[in-house]
Amino acid sequence: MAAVDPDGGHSRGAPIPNHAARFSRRLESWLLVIALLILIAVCMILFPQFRTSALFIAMINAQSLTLLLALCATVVLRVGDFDLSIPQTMVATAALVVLLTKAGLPLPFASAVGLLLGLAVGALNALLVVRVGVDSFVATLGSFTALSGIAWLLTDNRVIVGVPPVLIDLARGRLFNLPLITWYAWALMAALWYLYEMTPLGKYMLFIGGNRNAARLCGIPVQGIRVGAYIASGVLASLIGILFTGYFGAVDPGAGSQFMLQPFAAAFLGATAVSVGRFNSVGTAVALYFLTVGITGLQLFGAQTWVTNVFYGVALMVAVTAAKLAGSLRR
Amino acid sequence: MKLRGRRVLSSLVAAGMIAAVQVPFDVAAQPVAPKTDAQKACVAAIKDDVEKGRADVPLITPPGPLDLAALKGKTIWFIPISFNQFASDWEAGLKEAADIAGVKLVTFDTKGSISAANEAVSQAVAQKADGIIILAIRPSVIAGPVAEAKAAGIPVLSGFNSDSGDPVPDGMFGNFTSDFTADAELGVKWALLDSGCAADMVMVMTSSGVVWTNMSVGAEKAIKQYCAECKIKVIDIDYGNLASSLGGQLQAALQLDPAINYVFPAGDSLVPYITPILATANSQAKVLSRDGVSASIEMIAAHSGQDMTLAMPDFKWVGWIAFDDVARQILKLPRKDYSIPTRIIDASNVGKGTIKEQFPAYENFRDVFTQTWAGK
Repeated sequence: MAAVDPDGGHSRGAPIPNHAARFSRRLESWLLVIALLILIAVCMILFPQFRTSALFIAMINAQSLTLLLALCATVVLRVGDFDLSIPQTMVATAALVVLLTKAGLPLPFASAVGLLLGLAVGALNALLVVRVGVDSFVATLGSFTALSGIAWLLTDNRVIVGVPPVLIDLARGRLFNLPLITWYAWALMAALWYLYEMTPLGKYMLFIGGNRNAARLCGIPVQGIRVGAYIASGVLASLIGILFTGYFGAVDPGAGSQFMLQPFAAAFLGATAVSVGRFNSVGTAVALYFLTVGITGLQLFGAQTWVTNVFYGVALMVAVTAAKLAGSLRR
Repeated sequence: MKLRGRRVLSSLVAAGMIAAVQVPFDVAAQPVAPKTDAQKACVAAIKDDVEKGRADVPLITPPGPLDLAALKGKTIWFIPISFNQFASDWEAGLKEAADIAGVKLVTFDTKGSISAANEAVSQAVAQKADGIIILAIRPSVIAGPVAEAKAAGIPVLSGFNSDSGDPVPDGMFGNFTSDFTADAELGVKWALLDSGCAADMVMVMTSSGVVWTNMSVGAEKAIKQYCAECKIKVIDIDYGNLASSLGGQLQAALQLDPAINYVFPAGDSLVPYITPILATANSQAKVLSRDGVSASIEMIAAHSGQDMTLAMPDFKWVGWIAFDDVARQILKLPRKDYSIPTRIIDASNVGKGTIKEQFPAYENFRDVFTQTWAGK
């Protein structure tokens, strides 16, 4: 998905497509949303629990951290690179912040140090990928692995508890019966939507992700924006790490690998919705909730673990393939 | 709108938002007294077992002298499934004991990889290790290299792959483990006593771990035996996707049965992933588990996040006793079949959460071991 189609196959100056084609494009954009609504309706018919707000709140909350990570992942994906270090930056920051507070450092200072870690990771990734030219997948996989070791070192291979209550309140406190962490995820989704859709920077990111050389020739500061994306990704991952401590109330140094696959799966699946062919925040959220509703429905049905894994994998393959085919047919 | 009206309105909005912000809090409910005759009979049947489970655990010591001079220069390989707190502390204990004996300890962290586990055992054989200890790696997935080790005369100790007393895997000389089935039964009994035999429990395990499967069998058996009206649901999670798998399945279980009042993850390492789910569901379910990692003890002492654990003694002591086991095999001495004990740690006996309080007999275990080895 690195080579995305900035205009979804329709460029300025081309003939205006007919109504059927316009309808087809709109349908393609909203297909996953429609699928989600149908899935919810089916689940509401089949399972009484789906007719309760408690279940929806539980589903949404359980995915809040993953949604935050998925949204964070779209920042670098949109410029055509990978940042696999995000989940481990989150965990390493969480470990650092909690350990510093337990050592007596005031929370604001500990949090600032945590954010500096994210900044450093982002800067290192940017140096390796943008300046030196190392493949982003490899470079950030390396930083993921190194950060994993750092997290184990910081925590002495053990789960750390004693998270300051204010951090727990920050994540688990409720606003209109929804945990605050869910609101943060939605706020990030809205903020990224605005950045991607309403600002020149968001468009530049898309052009860079679509064709770096063409973007450079157009005068877009490609290197600067790519560096900025990595640094933003690192700092955002650290911020998510601070929320991580409050959400779990503890830091498990091995948790990073748990959050490796799902956020990227959601980001890629999200590129098949709303703004097809582009990594986008709303599509990412829709994709994640689609997978969550499906898996929750299967679990309520009593399906065993392997069934939900199969559903997850097949849903991802089908959605991405369908989007690819739809894009090919359009051309 | 006039300024005063705007101020009133913004104050009302702020007050509304403050009211809307509800922070979850923990309430440690007291044990419940049994009500019906069946519940009273159930409590009577299990009460003594739970009290025994809370009692001090005597120190388990080596069976006799050990010729440390004969061990000098030997090498023992320690191959854990992953390097979590338990493995880390176990390794630290092994190293302490090995250093006293002049034995070299080589640790190979397999990071959960079967191919790495095979490589580790093969390497140990190739580098002529004198003894091998594996931790929580299914013997069947390393059968080939283990057979090579046996052919080379290298003793292999199977750590935490079964219950004590279970048959020893091919190619290995002994099981070094606890009775996980009995531990799970004791955990269930604790929940039954705590609830007045009105427990509705969900157990979280992964079938990829033999000992956790044993625990689920033990838990189901105990519920069925002592409390026909109680319920237990076993959730089998994908350990590779723990964070997402556990959350979704647990929340589904809580939705299907809002009366769940006990959550029993098979290992303390799962507890941090459970507490946010319970918080979101506004569930007051109590959490009990097994192992006794420091984080869990701290949570029990703080009355927040976990209510009970079946704790093993100092994990470093486990390392010392494992060293003794392998060392005797290297020297071809008679072997003592160890079963790692556990103790119920809950609000009644957690104190400040120190090992010294929970396992007082183990405070000076190092001195006892060195004296025993020296024949004193």
